[in-house]
Amino acid sequence: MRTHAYTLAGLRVESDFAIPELPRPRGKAAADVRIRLGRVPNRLRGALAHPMFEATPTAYLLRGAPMARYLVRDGREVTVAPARGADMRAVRVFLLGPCLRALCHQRGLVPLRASAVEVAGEAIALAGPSMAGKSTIAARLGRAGFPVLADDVCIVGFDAADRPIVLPSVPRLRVWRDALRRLGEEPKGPPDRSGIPRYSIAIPPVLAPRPLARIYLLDRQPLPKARGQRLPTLLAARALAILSSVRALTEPMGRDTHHFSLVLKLLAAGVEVHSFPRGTDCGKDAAKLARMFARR
Amino acid sequence: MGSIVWLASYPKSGNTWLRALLGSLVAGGRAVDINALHGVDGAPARLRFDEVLGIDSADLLTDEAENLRPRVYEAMAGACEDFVFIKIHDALLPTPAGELLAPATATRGVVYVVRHPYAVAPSLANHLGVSVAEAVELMNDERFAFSASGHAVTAQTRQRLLDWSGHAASWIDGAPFPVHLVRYEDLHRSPARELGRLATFLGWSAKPGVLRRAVSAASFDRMRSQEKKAGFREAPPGVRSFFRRGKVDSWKKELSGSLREKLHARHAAMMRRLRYDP
Repeated sequence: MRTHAYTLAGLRVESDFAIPELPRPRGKAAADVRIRLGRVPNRLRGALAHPMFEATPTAYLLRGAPMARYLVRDGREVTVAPARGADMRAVRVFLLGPCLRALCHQRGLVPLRASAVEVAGEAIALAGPSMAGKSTIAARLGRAGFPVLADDVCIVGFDAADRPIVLPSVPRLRVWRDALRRLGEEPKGPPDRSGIPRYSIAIPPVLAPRPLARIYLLDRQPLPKARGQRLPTLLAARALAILSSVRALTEPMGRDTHHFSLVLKLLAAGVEVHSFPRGTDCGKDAAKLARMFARR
Repeated sequence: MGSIVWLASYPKSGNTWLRALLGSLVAGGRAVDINALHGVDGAPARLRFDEVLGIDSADLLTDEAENLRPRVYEAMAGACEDFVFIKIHDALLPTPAGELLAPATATRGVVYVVRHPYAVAPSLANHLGVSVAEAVELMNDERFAFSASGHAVTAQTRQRLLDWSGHAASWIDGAPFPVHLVRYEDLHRSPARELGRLATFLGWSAKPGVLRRAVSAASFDRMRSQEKKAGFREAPPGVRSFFRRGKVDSWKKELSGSLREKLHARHAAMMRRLRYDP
């Protein structure tokens, strides 16, 4: 079977099947992460029960996704068992979503629910839950000249000097058709999942990490007169822990203490977390952020 | 016995008021912040879904997401030591996979709030930004659903409502767990007594003084003045005031005779049962 080689988060990834969302690596090296097609068990020994998955400190079994079962082990091995006739594009949605997050947790990285853009050589993350407007705002910031570093899963790690960095993520924006049309574009190619009008738009990959300077929390349901402000450390820690799926993922993995310590380390390193109350218009919000970034 | 107490109602039937009353009651009759009410996420919130299940509801088809909602509630019930209130506007229906949306094993009971359909119609129209006639059509439509497209624009998953009578029947007759019925009009007329009945249903002992203070803390005027001052984060965008009138019979001015007839023609049986005169 032919092996497909890619790069993600500075790691060399080798896969039994094509993952066109990922960029090709430079040069040759041993694989850091191996993705295989194969059998995946129904149960994990010693795992806490969860409706969607089972997890231990070193293994994550996703059995509740619609198209396939997935087993992620030791931060380096992923086995995928697609259902018969499964659409591989849809299979990759959950591989590059929850499975990537689990892989990050296993490797001691923080998979933040965020987009990130580059501002003056540094990364600024726009974090928020599903539907907060992360991708759409990132797409607009990209057009305003701020290169997009990450969308959906923003992988945060630490460099040799323990400074927080944003690692190269999946170079794509995941955008809803309506948002795409408001940007004056029509989708090229099929959606990520048939029946859901959400599309992966490839963006130029940035293959080196960027120091993480600041995180904005997009608040889609703010109080009408709310203003953006820097969050106190404990509130920031709580928000970041939730936005890197601490409850659903790290608790069954037995890693929530470790994960929380990573979040605190990030804050202790001086990464500021600010609230950003969303308006009703992504364009205006993106323009406001662009003006703020231009001053940096 | 599960730990979820559902705060169920057809939209615009006083659910928010009830949550404010409960919030104050829990706090011993103290003032409540309308922007920090119990059950604030509500049953269909994607935020909670994604956080609990660790998978993005936005990547699921509408039916797939609905099939998983009982799992979210089970996990929420399992995570709390005593009880948790969850606001819900869905009718109590089976998911496409065939199990009840509100799992009985995770549920302690439901507080179902009902309001005169003639009063619901103008309020629903204001809430959705449609005409009162259109709101009446929706209340008569058994296919009516919130966030029906299921994705792309809303922070909530699909909520199937049925028509007004169907909604009430689904909870009052269909729930396999204890149901406590609260009529908005009774809550309006004698709030302390109704709140006392509710406390009894929940198994709480509440002193008359606490009930009175809770009623006063969560009065309509107090909530409306809070909204005027600081806004209400649950108000839909573009709606000027969520706390609109809070009167029992303002429909007599707001709903034409022909629209009343339209509602009555469809809902006469349930209206009679709930003691709503045409």
